Amino acid sequence: MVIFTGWFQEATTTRVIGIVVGMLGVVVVLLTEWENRTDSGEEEASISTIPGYILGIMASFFWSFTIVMWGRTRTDSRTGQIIPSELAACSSAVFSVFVNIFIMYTYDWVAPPKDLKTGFLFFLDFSWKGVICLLYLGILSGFASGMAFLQLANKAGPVVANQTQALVPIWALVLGVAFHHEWDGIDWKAITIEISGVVLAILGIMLTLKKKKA
Amino acid sequence: MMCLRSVIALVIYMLYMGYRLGKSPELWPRYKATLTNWRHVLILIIYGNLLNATFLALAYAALYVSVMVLGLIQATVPMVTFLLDLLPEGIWSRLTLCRRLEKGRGTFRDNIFFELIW
Repeated sequence: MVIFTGWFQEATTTRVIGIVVGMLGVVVVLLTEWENRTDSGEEEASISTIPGYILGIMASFFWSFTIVMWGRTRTDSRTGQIIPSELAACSSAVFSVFVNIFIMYTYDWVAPPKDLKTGFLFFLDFSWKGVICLLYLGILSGFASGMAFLQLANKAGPVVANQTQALVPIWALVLGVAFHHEWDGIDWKAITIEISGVVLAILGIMLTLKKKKA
Repeated sequence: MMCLRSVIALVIYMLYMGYRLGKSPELWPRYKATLTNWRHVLILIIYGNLLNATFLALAYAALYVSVMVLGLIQATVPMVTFLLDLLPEGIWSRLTLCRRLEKGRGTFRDNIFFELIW
């Protein structure tokens, strides 16, 4: 009942179709990769993969919940006072430091590295390349993306903001093809499937962005 | 390196806020009002923690399943967001411990306890 009350208030058919089409696009993009993995026996469903599925689903829920909660609670209903986005992003960065320290000390324990130098705890690279990558991660991936995501969520709403998830595999595909030559030696059928997945994902985003007629 | 990355991001956020404050000092009352409102501080803490819980869960999930499987699970994020966004306002105000506190009944501790067991 709760769901349906909200449904009539906020959902539009176009938006629902957009989300489903976007999801379908991501699945199609990843489909060829899935086939490659299962063919080579890399991805075998077993009991050891269950924690991964549970954690993945938890991550999916946390991510969705966080951004919807932000949209619904950032304005104080009594005073109309709005929480500045940069404070929320800053709070996330503060906790991120602690989370990374936690990961640093537990990751190698959960998955012991083959070589200590490649382990998470011991991974320090202060060469020019390492420092540039670090700055890229800190400035663009940490600061700029955090602010941009919050601004998008504030202006366009949580659903549209999280629809950017559909762009992640597309960017991965584009960068993989551009820098890793991932399409070299792959048959045209796989390429066609991947391109149709990209088209579906973009179509889904466009449909979600479409505004309801007044 | 990832920890350093978070430290760099944090420093840049601080610099950015300092820059914004320097440019328009009238922002300071807004920051102050948020940081002195316990409910807003709570929202900031929940936001920061949950967002990082997402990354934590993803980091450990990547140990058990491939990135591609995670990509498929993450493809459900827009749909989950959409469904959560359909929930009525009252549920969200209850979740953030504000509805009953706004009425000013009982002590702060009693209200928190009441909301948590509700």
